[in-house]
Amino acid sequence: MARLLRFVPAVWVFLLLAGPGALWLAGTRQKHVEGKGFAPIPTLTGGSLRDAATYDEIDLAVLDRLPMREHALNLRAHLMMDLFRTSPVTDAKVGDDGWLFLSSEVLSCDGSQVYTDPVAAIDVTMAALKTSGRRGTIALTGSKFLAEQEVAPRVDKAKLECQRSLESRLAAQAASYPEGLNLAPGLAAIKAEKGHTFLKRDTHWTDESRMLYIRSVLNFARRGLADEAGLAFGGYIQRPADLAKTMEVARTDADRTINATQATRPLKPGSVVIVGDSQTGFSLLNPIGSTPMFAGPLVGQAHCEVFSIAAGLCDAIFRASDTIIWQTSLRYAPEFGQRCGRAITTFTEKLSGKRTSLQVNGADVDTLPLRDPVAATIVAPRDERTDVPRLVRVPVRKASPTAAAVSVTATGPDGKPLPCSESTQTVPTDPISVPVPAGMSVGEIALNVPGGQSTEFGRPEVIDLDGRAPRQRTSTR
Amino acid sequence: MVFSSPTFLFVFLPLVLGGTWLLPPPARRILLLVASFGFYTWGAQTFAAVVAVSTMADWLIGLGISSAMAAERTRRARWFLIAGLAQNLALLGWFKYAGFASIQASRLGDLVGLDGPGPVSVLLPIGISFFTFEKISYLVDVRRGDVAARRNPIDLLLFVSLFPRSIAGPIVRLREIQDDLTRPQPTVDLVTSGAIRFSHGLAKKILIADSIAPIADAAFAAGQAGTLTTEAAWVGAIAYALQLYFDFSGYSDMAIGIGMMLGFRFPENFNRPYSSVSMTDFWRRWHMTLSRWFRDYVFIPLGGSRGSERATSRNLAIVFLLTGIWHGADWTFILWGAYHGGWLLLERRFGWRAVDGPVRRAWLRRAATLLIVLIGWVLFRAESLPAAIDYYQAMFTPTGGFTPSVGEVATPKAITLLILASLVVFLPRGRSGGRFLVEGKGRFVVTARAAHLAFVLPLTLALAMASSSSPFLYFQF
Repeated sequence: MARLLRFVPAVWVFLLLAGPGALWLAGTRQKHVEGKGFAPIPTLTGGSLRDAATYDEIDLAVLDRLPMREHALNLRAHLMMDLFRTSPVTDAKVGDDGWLFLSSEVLSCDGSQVYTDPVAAIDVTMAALKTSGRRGTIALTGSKFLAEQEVAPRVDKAKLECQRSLESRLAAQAASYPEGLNLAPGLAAIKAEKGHTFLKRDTHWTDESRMLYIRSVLNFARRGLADEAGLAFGGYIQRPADLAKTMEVARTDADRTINATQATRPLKPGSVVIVGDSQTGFSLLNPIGSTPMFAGPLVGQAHCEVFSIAAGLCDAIFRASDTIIWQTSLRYAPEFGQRCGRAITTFTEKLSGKRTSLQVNGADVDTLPLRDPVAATIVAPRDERTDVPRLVRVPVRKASPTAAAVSVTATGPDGKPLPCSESTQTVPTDPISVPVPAGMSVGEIALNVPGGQSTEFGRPEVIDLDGRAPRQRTSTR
Repeated sequence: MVFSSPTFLFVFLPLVLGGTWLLPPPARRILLLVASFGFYTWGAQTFAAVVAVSTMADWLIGLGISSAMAAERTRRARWFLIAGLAQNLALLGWFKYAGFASIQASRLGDLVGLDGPGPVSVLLPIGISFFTFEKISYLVDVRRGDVAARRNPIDLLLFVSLFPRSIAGPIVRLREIQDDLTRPQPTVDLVTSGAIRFSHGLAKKILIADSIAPIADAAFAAGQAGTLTTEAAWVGAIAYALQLYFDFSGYSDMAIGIGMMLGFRFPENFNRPYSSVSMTDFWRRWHMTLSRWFRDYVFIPLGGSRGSERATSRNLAIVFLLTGIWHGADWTFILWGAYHGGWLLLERRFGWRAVDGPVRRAWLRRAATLLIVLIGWVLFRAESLPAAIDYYQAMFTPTGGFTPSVGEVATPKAITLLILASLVVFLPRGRSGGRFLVEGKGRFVVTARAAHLAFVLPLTLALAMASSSSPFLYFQF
């Protein structure tokens, strides 16, 4: 017996090392983990075998396919969370009492994430909406780090302050529009009464906060629609928590469904567009365990996923709409200034303005033939800084037969891209739209046009986004 | 390939172990040779061919030395040796120091107004410093008559490439493993001891070194960014000292353990270095095979301590400058070597070496030695000399607060392991944990061994499978 026992450590170590390979040979296959597909197996050639990257690729391919990797990830997550209260992944952070937070929610605030000022971008977007004759509002989903600060993990104070400042500026801007959808007071009341506005292990709102959002959206779509729909909480559900899933552990949050209990008078089909991210998705479009609002009081209305705007996928529904509700989470606010460009181009396509001229190196030009890169300025008559945003539309007179789209970078006096300027056309024959924020003159904008494209720009026109009734113009399309 | 990578642990190692145990001794050697070159090719690609050619040159030169000595033609033997040293040092010089030397030459040229060819960029093959020293030791030992020149080139190819220690030591001399090289005999006792030693090393790397590493990384990054506070600087330095020890000694434990499982007995490389009572003592406990190599092949040939005090000091200074340069081609390493050499000279001068018997106030001497070593590691870890100066400024110019980026990575897990690691290495004890587990006797040791294999090893392997592996720190040398 003692002789046999001498073998035990060696056999045990060998079994542990050879186990995953033996399981693989026996046909056990690892399913996709971490929400992604397997790393590809590199092609092995004489050349690739001389390249260090090939060996890294093999390591990744082996790692992904090892049987039991899923269990290993799960074990690590439990150990880290249950023993050390620490997140096993960088994407999520662990706060007090098991609260989880999304790491990327904390903006760097060092300028690397903020392309343009999101407050100015919201201002331009709302002005464009109003001038186009539409009703519009911005709904802000604040930061979970700020909303649930008492249980949040420790993060850089400077970053948190920057976050707080951005959130309060955005909330103030959203609240500044008459009839606008201002969630802040309601969320503050929920926080005071219920303790939390966000779910414990999830990036999304609690049932109470969601109810506030849904009510606000319905009432903005048509006054009194929320009461008409008889919104009410349904039964309790255990909702799979997305932040726990990020850590490879299965955890749930107690949640309640929200239902529209009464039939409503339908809205005009396609008149309301709700732009948003997953908060809107879980509240209105794909709620867990209940019928979507888009199948109830919002039937026939359109939803635009915020990430689809830049590709032009929401153009058609924007054109058909007369009411836009735009929900944005704070963590996506820095990118708002990029996403709104395509939306503004679409909202304002029927507006017309004053003709202006272009100058290159101080000389007037009628067109900009793009043989060489140029930095052009726009000369508008009686150009002065105004209290309202404006829009410069630069027509494309002759589109390049080869290039799919024209790229133009519009920068302000500080050299930074302007909020909501569409740097690349989504539709090749479309004009280039360059919003001018309130307080900036048209002449301060530099249009940086790359060369090498056989495209000609015509004389721009300047449209005041002053919120007055639109002047119809002949189609620009 | 990294010892802690899933490809190594779950594919390469079980295949090589299984093959070695099943095959007869002559075939074992071939398997180990193929596996070793495969292992090295994984990390160094085409440079493996350069190693093979250079080793074959050493084989021929070794035979030349041997035949010259047999014919009592010592002059000829010396020339053979010089040729061998030249080819090895030329390879090391080109691949490791050409870039650094060309930068210094270029700077010098700028100073005196001469145009030069400019800096040279050469990719550093992993492990070159380790196997170059082993190849040199073989040639010198043949010349000294300490070891017989190998007739079979496979002996030498296997000695140089043997994968458990080819790229990060321990630095082995052929005479130490010549019997094992000829006939590897993985006996049950050796395999069992090796399995325990290997699992202990893996745990040191994955459970401790990798958990502490983010603190050190964040502190040194903050040092470069100019945001490092005094408290964070000291925490970062301690974290790095522990990370380096657990990483490198963990690798050595794994190398020794794998060697045992394959039938080889490698020399020890660490003996609780942070318990040293003087710097002289430290260098008898830290990277022992490197110290031994410099002692036998540089210090003693220079005259050692047999001459005057001045000659001894000169020899020590040369050895420690070379030790610094061996670690890396940068002024930080050269200064680090000079710093250690300086302390050793001081200890000699004032009789503080404390290596010849019991010492008074050992705890005070231990603390002082540790502090000296800790301060030296900053030079060792810093990206550049200015970065090291910035770090020292943070350490020694008191500032309040704690660097947020270091605070963010100082998770409960990292702090727990930092404290645990400190207790393990700083408390005095006779033997390292790995040796204690393998060589110790009694019920407590048996229980510790069983617990290690039953719980620590499976947990470590699961964590290795759950994370993409991080390289060992000493691979860069």
